[in-house]
Amino acid sequence: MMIKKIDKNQFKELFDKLKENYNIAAPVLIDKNKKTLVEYHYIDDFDKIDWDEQADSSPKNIIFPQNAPVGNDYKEKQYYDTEQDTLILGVRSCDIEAIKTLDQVFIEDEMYIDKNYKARRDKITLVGLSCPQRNKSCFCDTLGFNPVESNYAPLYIFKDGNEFWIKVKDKKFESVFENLPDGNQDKLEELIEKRINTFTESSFELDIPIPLPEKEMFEADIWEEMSEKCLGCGICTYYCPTCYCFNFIWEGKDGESTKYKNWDSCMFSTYSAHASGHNPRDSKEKRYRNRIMHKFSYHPLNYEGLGCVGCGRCIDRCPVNLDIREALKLTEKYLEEKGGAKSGKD
Amino acid sequence: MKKYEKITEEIVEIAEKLLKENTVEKVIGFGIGIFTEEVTPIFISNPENADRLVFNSKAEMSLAKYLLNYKDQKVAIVAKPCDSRAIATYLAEDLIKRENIKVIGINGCPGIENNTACEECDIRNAVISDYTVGKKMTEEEIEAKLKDKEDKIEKMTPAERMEYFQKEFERCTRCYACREACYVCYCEQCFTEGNQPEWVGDSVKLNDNFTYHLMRAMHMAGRCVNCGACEMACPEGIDVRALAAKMCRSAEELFDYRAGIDSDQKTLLSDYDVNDTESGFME
Amino acid sequence: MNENNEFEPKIAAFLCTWCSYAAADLAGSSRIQYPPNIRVVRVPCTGRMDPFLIIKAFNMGADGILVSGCHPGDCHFLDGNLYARRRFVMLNEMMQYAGVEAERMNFTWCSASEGKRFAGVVEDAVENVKKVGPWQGFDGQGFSQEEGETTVEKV
Repeated sequence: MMIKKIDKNQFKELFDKLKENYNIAAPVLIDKNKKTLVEYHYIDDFDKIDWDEQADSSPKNIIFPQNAPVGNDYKEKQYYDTEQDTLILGVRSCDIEAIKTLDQVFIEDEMYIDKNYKARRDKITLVGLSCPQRNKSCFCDTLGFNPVESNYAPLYIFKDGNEFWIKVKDKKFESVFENLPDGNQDKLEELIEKRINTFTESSFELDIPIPLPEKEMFEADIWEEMSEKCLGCGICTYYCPTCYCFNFIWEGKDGESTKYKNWDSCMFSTYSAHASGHNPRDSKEKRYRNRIMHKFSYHPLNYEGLGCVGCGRCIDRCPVNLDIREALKLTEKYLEEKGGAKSGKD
Repeated sequence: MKKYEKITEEIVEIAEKLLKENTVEKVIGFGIGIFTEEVTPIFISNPENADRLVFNSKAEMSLAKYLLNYKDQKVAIVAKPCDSRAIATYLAEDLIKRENIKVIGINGCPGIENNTACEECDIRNAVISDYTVGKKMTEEEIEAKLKDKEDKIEKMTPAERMEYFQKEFERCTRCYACREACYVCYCEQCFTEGNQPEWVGDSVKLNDNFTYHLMRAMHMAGRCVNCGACEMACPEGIDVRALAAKMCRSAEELFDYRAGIDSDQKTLLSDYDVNDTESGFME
Repeated sequence: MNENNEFEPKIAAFLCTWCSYAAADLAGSSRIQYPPNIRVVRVPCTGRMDPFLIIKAFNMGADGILVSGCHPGDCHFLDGNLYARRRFVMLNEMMQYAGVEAERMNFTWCSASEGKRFAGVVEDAVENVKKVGPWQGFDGQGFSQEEGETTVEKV
């Protein structure tokens, strides 16, 4: 491991050097007519990076685009450029953990490896960013993630005012950072501890078993109350960094069609509709139940870790402010009343 | 703002009374979340919880749509002037029964933060109501609040307009929040969901996004009450309301028609007049 | 494009089977010449015309559309075209507001005996659409693009 400490100007130089070998994406403030939002975009200019705000949309869009042609049955074609490596700068812990979740599903699961995803993912390097304080509605610490540091990114930045600490965890990248001034490890530890404390002060307590007991929760009567105000749009899933559901569709004309892998949302009524007309999740409480259960029960049962990273985007962006934390609190209360919660694994 | 507080007080009082007397089973209103300060729709059936109801400048959602979930129940609903118009349209389209709902109408609505539709609102008093809160605004007051804003899109050339909307709809992620937030969009199956015929492609491509928004706006013709819920719901800050608002203006100019003014009126496109205008037709 | 490299528009023509379709028939049997740019879709009544059909036609690459039905008052179903009239006026307002040129949308009435008028209508419609040139789609990119993925833009 290597620890470097540089100031803004040095980072700018470093950025310009990295630009030659990498496509660089970072959170940028974008004016969107009625709203201004921080989003991940490819950039050329270091000064455009927004370090202070949690991005309003996740870096999922870069690794797993909303629409991606995957060829058709007659031609194998690659639709994306895998020539150049991509660096995603300023990815916070929640998003790094989220990408870990996507990796679990698309690459690490030996049952099926998504070769399109893999080809793209192999070219992407995550550069983490330590969260200085809680952003809006996030609650990753409650779910057991560390907002200040994550081990899944090979490079990690700690921004303190105009100073940047860079932790190089992967030997592969050491040569790039070799000539930069070294940082003091103890000082960095201090900073990390201070930040963790600011998080613990404002975290909320949650005591639910992970994974949630499948059968018990499935039959619980709390879902209607939770989802009563849900409109059934796809915002929470489209802006969720871990939601990976997709749909295959064929599009084209003049007798030729291409197979697309498009995002889908479990909050849409057509998500589980059968060709026969039957829909096993025909009401919004059933769909909401599936969303929560997938994140806190089915995913943990099948993979390691959670399906929710607590980034809080679904809370911030929901048009009716449906709060997943309230849902979790209700779950906690329900299981308590049922007399002691057992995890789904037992 | 004192106005909001006074309205809140009155809403709580009425809701408590209705629930205590068992006139209604449920009150649909605005409340504050447990973890955030944000306003969210709440559904109250216990009179003790009536004090959770609030009304403030962030009560941006249109609650009227929730009425469709409680068609056979007796419910009370807190309705901003635009919501009361939406309820009037539902009654006109025979979707809900008048005797099942109690409307707590807000008179003299002080407006919603960031909602540009409020600047264009010239109703500001509840159109239908069983109970009213707030102070009724006189026409002069409404006139004074009305910002005389020229529509900047109207002034553009066709090419510029096209470019403006292309720039807007390019960002659309087709999350369908505009559709779900809109009180008009209550179809069991949306045209985007069918594939016989497939009206619009599923992929997020500008041509299809544009088509989706045009088609949705066409369904708004003579039914949209210009409440701005679609625009407030859009996560990408798209000017979703522009097309629908244009339809409202055109309906008024060409057919002297306004949606949701009367609970007995026919909708614009389910009616005709022999002497209707033929504006835009060939010579 | 024709052989002189001039733009020849493709116009989707929705004709009511009782009047305008018969008018087209009459124009044909009376040997009246009119431009071959229209692709006729026979509809049972203009009242059946869902505005979506017109939007979809543009979505799929028609340079313009022509809708023609019975004159108001002469509808085979009494008032189908009267309902349709309001719809077209509203659609026209919206499409123009969205930046689709007025010349691309042609609405008119032709009775079964107006073969000559029908030929004139088609001529006018073709001329109108020629004035504004080829339709490039709602995305302004034309209709021969390659398939692609949604990409994160560079800013």
